[in-house]
Amino acid sequence: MKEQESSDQAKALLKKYLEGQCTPEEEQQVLHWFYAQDQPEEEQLKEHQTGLASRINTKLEEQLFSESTPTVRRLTWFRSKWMVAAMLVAVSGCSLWMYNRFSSSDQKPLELAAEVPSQDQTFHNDILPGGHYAKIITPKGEEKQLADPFVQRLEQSSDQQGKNFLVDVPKAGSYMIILEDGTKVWLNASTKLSYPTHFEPNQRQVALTGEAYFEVAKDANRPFRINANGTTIEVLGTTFNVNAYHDEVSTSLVEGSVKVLKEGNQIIIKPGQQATTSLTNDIKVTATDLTKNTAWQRDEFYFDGNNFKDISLQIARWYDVEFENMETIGANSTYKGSISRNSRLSEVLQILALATGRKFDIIGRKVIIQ
Amino acid sequence: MKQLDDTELFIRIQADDRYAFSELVNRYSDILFRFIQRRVSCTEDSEDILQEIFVSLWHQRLNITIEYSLYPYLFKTAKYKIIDWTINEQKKIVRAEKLLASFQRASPTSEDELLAKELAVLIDTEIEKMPTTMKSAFSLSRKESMSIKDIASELAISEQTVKNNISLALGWLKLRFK
Repeated sequence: MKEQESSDQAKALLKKYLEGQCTPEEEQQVLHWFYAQDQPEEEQLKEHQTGLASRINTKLEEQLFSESTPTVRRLTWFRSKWMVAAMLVAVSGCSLWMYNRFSSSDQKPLELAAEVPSQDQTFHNDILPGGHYAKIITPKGEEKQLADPFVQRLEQSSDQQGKNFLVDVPKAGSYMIILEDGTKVWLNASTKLSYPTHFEPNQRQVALTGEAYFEVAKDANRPFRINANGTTIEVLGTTFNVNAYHDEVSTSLVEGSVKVLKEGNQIIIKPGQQATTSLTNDIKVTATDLTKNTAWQRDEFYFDGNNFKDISLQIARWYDVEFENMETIGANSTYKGSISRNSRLSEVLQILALATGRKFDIIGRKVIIQ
Repeated sequence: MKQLDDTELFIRIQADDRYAFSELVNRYSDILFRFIQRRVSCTEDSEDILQEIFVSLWHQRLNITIEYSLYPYLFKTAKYKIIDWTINEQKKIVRAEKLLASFQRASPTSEDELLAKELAVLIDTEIEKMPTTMKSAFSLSRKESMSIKDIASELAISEQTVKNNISLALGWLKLRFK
């Protein structure tokens, strides 16, 4: 059949192209055919594209970074040897140089919130944003740096039964870990989380100071308990944020249900609610703005009615800086807006300058309000 | 991480930073997917191919140098994988005679030109996805060549807001295509 014949011929030409054996004319033929191909995009494509990137990210994490998964996977890449050949030709020119450059570099962690020269006259210097970093202290007292992100599933086994691991995230750091039960915890700057070498058969207990976002794995037989500065948060499996930088601890619930306990008082909250415990041990429940309370976990500063003191505290924690002349900005004014936590400090201060009508300078690790 | 341009992002990826890698996936998934899907009608296969592109980028990260942006590398990898898919997964090549018809041109077109043409189409769809104010301000300024002042009165917003939105829009495109 003629159609079949020309299809086979076309395939032979494409194979030649992948092998790098085409004449310049044939190459033009293939390229024009390839870039002229234009099937109309399907309508349902939009639907398919929602969540595409995160779906791909999850698959990649499984395929590339998960240790427990067997390596046998569908990989069409290795199926065709001419493909490999073609790519090798394409990259061989630079490979040697890159190899030399990167094989000798020892992997020291990036400096967090480093001081760098300012790009404009307004500031004496600038400060880069914080980054993913944590220190883990084993029950034996050994310290490990967790600079490589996605070191997720942490080793919880140890011969030191009954003792705890401590994850310590400094100022200007943030980190995500996965505990042995599959619970995911995102840790904000200036945060400590301790967890046992193994969870007990009847409960999963951890302790927190600072701020963390939890996605607790469901296990009806083992409640998950967080001790945060004297407040206990008890759940079976759910998602929520805990802010425990101070003795007043706020729990904002994203989904599921959570029980908050403090000195004999207890209360159950629903999604969209926030429970705040106080020094006098009572628990206040308010409706809460989840976008605001969980913004840090999405790499954002998000202010909606925050006063300057609160804003400066969040910035100080992420850029490891101190504010001077704080008292010159009244506590009664509140501000709205969002800024990426990946911005340089100067960019954040420029926006704050617009909002407050004040001038800011950075000198070393100090922010001066003029 | 979102503020980093491709070169900075890629340096981090070469230092095994998996957060940087996942930001790269966020940055390129949609546009690459559309590029693939226009040629591979099956969405499942398109998604598999997309995944393979990132897998090979991760494996090859120390062997790649980039100048300004990763997109030439990513789109060319996509091309190889799509052609491979065409050979192996398609029983019959549709419109094969089009591929076999030889091109007679005074001077050959470079692949970069062909790719740039296609990207222009994809960028237009990208502008479509911007938030409304950003989109209007940006298209009035770049496509209709209107002044900031005119745009401000047209959209009934302040001139400063127009400026902010246009620079945000440029930043948006720069991050995706730089």
